[in-house]
Amino acid sequence: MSEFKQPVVIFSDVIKHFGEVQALRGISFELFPGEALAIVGHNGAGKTTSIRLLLGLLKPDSGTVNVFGRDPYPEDEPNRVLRRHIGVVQEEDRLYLAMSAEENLLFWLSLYGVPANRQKERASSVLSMVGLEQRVRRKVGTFSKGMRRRLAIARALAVEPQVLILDEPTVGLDPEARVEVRKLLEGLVHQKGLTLLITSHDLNEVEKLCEKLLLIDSGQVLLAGSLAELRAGQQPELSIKLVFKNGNTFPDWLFQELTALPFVARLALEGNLLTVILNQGGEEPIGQIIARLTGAGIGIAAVEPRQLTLEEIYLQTTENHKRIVHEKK
Amino acid sequence: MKKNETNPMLVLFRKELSIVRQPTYWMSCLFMGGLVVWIYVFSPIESIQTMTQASPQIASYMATSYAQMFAILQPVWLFLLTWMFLATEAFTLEKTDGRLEMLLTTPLRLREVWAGKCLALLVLIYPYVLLVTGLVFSLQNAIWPTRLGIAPGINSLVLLISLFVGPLLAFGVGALLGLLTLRVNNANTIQSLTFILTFAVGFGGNYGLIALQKQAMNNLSDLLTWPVFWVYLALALALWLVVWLLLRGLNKDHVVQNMA
Repeated sequence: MSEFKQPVVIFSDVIKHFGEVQALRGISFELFPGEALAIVGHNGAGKTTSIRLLLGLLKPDSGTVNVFGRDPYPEDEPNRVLRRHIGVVQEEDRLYLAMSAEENLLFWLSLYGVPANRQKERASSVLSMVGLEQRVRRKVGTFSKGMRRRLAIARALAVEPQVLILDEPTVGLDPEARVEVRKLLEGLVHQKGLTLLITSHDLNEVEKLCEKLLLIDSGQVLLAGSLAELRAGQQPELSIKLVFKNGNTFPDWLFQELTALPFVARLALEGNLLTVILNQGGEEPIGQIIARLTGAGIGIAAVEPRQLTLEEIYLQTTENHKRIVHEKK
Repeated sequence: MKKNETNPMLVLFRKELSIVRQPTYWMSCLFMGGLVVWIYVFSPIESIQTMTQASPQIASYMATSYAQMFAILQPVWLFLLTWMFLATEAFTLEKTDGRLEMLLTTPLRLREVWAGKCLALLVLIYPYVLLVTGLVFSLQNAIWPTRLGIAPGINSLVLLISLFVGPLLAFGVGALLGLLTLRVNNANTIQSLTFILTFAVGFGGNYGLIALQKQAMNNLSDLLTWPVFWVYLALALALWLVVWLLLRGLNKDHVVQNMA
């Protein structure tokens, strides 16, 4: 792979309306070859609209959508070729239930221009990959939801895409099927090194599959970056387990003194557990807090710096955004 | 597209043809065809036979007018009825189940989706209409002269309208309805419209023709004349013009927004 990589997907200040509703309000992001990006957000945040724009199903009102260096919307010959490099799994499976698993794949491969002599081999290979090799000739109508989703993934992979787009791949599945599909995707992403764009509500799934995240709400980007960057950008949190001697309690003056420290954002005391949210990381603030606690005669049983989970980052960011929007009103 | 690659529209066309594998397709074809043959070959025999004794001239006119009534209405009705059955799967369910959107993520173009489906339905329906029409005329020609002593009077005008212009008109209606299914917000509305239209043509048209036949019987004038033929042809061409204009204005963004 060359040192300098061109982005596979570029969204630049994309705006899209549906009548009066503004679905996207200036979304920008880039996806480079080999990267896995997750777009997360509430229902109606603009995730599926972004996917539809990327697939050239919708036309942006303004801004630029660029896939492999081209506007994907026009139905011209170069875009016909471009579509062959994109595998799609939509929120619903959208398979032909009266056809067998193999027939579904052969039809799809023919649409993508795969030569007839290579179709059967390709279909059988992806069916094995998703664990459906025993059900090649079974009608899809008889499949469970999990099996249908695996077949939908197989259909997307059968065309040997350079970019795989998954719109809510585990939504509507029971916990067992969800784990099954997630494991399959994890294997594919990590072993095959596919360029992946996924929309999901399941932040667990996102954490396992993607290294980059785009959090959108009401058609706006609230947060974007690699998971490591996003975590580093969050306020560090400290849990301190206290030991009170001789029936002492936590003195009010100490609580006020700690709150007044410039590197302390928030302080919460619950029983003998003190939670400190810091404005900055590093060892010095932790050292200072511990010194003040021990100086006041409070023993320390344990100190645990805690990293925020993706879910907490998500909730914190969306709540902050809601508060800002509310204050503006 | 490389030279040895199959056009995606052709792939979709072939897939749509696979409906012939469904027993329901054959059963409905047999039922509808049988019904038409019964109504236009065997059912009129008794009424013409009764008339033969009273007025051989009127009986002969009735035999001719039955063939003309068939030519004016039945190929169109049979085409639309079969279209209605097949378009439910090919257009309406494809859209409401979201498979149409999925197809648009492939190398297929929107117009190719419409054209591939319309052509497949044409290939499935037109030979069937030709077969039933041929069967009706052949049986009328074989049975009526021996049973009634009267030939059905099938002329070039009857053949032209029943074999070409009628199906062209009905195909135009079907193609227009298919296009509207892609464009409108609620595909089921078009499905209902197809249903209403088909039965309006079937029952209303038949009722109208019987009334016309009674009127025309007074002066023994033909029901099917060249002016009727030209009106039919003009109607079919006008319909295809509307289809062409709508097709030119077909906007993928609009179609996909209506799927969402």
